[in-house]
Amino acid sequence: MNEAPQSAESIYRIELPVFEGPLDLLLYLVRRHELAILDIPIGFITEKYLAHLELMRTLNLDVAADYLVMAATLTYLKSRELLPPDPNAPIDEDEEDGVDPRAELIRRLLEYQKYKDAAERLATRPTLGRDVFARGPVADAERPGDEPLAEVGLFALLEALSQVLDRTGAPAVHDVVVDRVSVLERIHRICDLLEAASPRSFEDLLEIDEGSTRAFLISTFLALLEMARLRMIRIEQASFCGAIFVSRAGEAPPPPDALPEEYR
Amino acid sequence: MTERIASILESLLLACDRPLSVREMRETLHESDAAQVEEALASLAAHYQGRGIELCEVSGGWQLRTHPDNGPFVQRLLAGRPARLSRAALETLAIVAYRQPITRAEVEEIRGVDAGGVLHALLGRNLLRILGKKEEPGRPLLYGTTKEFLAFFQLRDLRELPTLREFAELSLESQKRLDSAAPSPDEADDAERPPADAE
Repeated sequence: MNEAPQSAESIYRIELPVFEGPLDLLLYLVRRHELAILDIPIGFITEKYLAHLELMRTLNLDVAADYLVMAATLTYLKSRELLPPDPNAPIDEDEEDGVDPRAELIRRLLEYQKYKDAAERLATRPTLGRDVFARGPVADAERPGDEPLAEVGLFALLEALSQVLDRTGAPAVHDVVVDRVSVLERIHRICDLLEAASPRSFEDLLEIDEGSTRAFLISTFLALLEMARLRMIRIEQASFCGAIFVSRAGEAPPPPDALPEEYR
Repeated sequence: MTERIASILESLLLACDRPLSVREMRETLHESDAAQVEEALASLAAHYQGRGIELCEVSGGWQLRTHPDNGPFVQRLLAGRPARLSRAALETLAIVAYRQPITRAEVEEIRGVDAGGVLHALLGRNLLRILGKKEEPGRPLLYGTTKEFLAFFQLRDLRELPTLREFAELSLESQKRLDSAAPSPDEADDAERPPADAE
């Protein structure tokens, strides 16, 4: 911990719990305000929920679509509570008279709470590779079962790049290439390619698009490095000097908006 | 006799890098009497009581494992990253474990968020596998847990998973009510009913 001078950002620190989704957030609000799930006050919870989304937005957190869908549901339920029933309204087939419109929401909350609890209890079990260890090679918890691939060093990557550059023998022509290929563009393209098939060999990714000018190849290479930095992809090599493979990281890649400005 | 068998089994268990089933032990020993093997296992398990090694029944077999209390030290020696699962991964695993076979859409319905990435990652880590396809439009994939899942959480089998707790009665308000009054025996039934009726 070094004592850096406080910047404007670090003076105000807001601690926000990380939520696993709209249901998680709702459960948190229910617990925080000591509400009964079975008789959840829709008006109150909607207000708190929307306030929380607003806070997330102020903090520049990405508010996923799932949260917005829940916001719409809550607002709808709230409006139903406020409005007197319309006798002329066509009767919705799904909604019988007398059924609490909140029932579906309550059911989902209870259901989610059940599995959230089960997950918490699963986490307390003695876990292989964390609490208990068995004989034999330490289970690579990252991805056991896969063909063992070693992490690749930066130089192996550079070497592979230079091999491709040599092979394509990009001619030293003197026209000025005006339309530069942006790294972001390449990231999108690689995302698409990996979505179609993953893993792919490093060479494959570099060479798949024609027009392999030097700038083009370098943009692609930078894109791969950037994606590795953002943990969007994994880069692995089975053996020393062997083929290098690029695969999508387990989690869904961050949306392009999450990319730093300078790569656009 | 049991002592001799226990001695051999101890060697087998030490040499083996996966849970060893009783059937495999009997085949190796040429011992037809399962009771003999069970007895030897019990005496071995008792032998390790209070030691740094435990004889655990996991994933349909037996395995020597380090004692959970010593985990941090082993971790330090191996200097590896401890096996960690994100909350998303844990919740997804729990849902699949209790509800398998289950489709991605069903997991998403419970968690309220997209599950594609997490499911894919868990497949990659061999904690989940694809059991088949559901007979419904689109033929979605059905997910289930693996033997590695059991070994990972030191579970003998799926039945060892704790029973799901019903939460209808566990909101704070009713929690207080529960604390003040002894829970009635039909409490669990109340929780089972759809919430609309419970109102």
